Amino acid sequence: MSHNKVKVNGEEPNQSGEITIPFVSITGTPSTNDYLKYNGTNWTPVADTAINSGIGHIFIGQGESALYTSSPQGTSSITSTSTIYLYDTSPVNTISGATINKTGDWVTSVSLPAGDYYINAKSLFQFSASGVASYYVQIGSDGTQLGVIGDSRSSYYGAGDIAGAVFQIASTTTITFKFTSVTNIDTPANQSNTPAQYGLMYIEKLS
Amino acid sequence: MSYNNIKVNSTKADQSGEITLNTTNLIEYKEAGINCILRKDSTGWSTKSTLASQTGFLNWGATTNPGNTSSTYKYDVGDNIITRKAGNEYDYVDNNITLVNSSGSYVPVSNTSWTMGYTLDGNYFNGKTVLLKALVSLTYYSGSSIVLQWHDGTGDITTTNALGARSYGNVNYGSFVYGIYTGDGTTRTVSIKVVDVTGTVVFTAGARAYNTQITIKEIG
Repeated sequence: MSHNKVKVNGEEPNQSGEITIPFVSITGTPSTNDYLKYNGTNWTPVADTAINSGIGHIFIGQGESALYTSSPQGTSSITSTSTIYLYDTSPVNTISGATINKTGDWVTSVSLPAGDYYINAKSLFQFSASGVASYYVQIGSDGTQLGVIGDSRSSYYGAGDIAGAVFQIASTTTITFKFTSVTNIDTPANQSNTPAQYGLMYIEKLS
Repeated sequence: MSYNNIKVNSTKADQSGEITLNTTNLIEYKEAGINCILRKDSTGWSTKSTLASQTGFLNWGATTNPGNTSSTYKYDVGDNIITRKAGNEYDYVDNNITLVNSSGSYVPVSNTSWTMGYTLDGNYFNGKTVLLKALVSLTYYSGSSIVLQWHDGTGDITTTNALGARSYGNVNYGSFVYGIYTGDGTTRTVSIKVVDVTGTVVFTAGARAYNTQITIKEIG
């Protein structure tokens, strides 16, 4: 054997005879009975109770009543870029690391940790005349397919009212339920309780 | 540097210059999948997915079913949606779920061949969470519409609790109704309630069965 012929995991010594082995670091300090969980970059300690945190669900929308003017939309006109607010006094969230962001009891967005997800979202709004509106859940620069509501929906070729997708995110991402088009949608005051009673978002963490 | 002076993790090279690392070292697991956990086994470390398994409990699978489109059998506010069960229209029903016969004041017709709710065994579902999801194709008379919602109970709607958001339907507009239920140790019956109705809407019959979807699955 001669100098620099030794290799460890394909790594040769440097001129000082030092071998630097590429390894994956452990971030944080494990406690007794913790597991090490790989997040794509590092091993991170997770509590024993969180061992099944790879899956979980979020369920927003219990059909409760609340005037839409009490949402962050207030009395401002609803436009093709407006956020759709969901009402729930006790939304269900069993996804470790996920956060349901609220203003009062109105859900404004949801922050999700890295992983694969299945999502369905829908709502219902009042129209001032025969009309139509489409919406989706914005996921970073991407989003779900459209859900469509309203009677003047022929241009959407039989679309349903569910905005849905399976998607993957590599890091914590905030998703927002938003309109993409509105025609003859009524004022927030005339929405009364409809969006609160019909709005729903179901998210299932797949991995 | 001289022969055998190199050490890696306290391990010297052998006469061939090879260093064998113990499998307890994390190095070999740098390619683990996202959300894998590291678990000590008898010989070293192994990776295990955190993904848990979940199961389905109920499915409507009929392509057609007998029924009646007569306005005699119209729904009123507070009624339970009824669906046929006698012909194995439900092609999968877990042993811990019982289909409740259609009967009483809150159905368009009492009939033991039809069900008005799903009874979930208290012991089995204790602590389990299920997703309730349905789209029921009905008979809509001109100008009619209906609003449905999953409820905990089959009785007077003023005494039952909503389990999810409302869902609107008419002859052109079918919409899934979602609910969520977590067992508390007691045996409970969940149902799809009529929260509002305009005009005459009659229970399902014939090929409407093909469009109907009713599922209950575990989510937690």
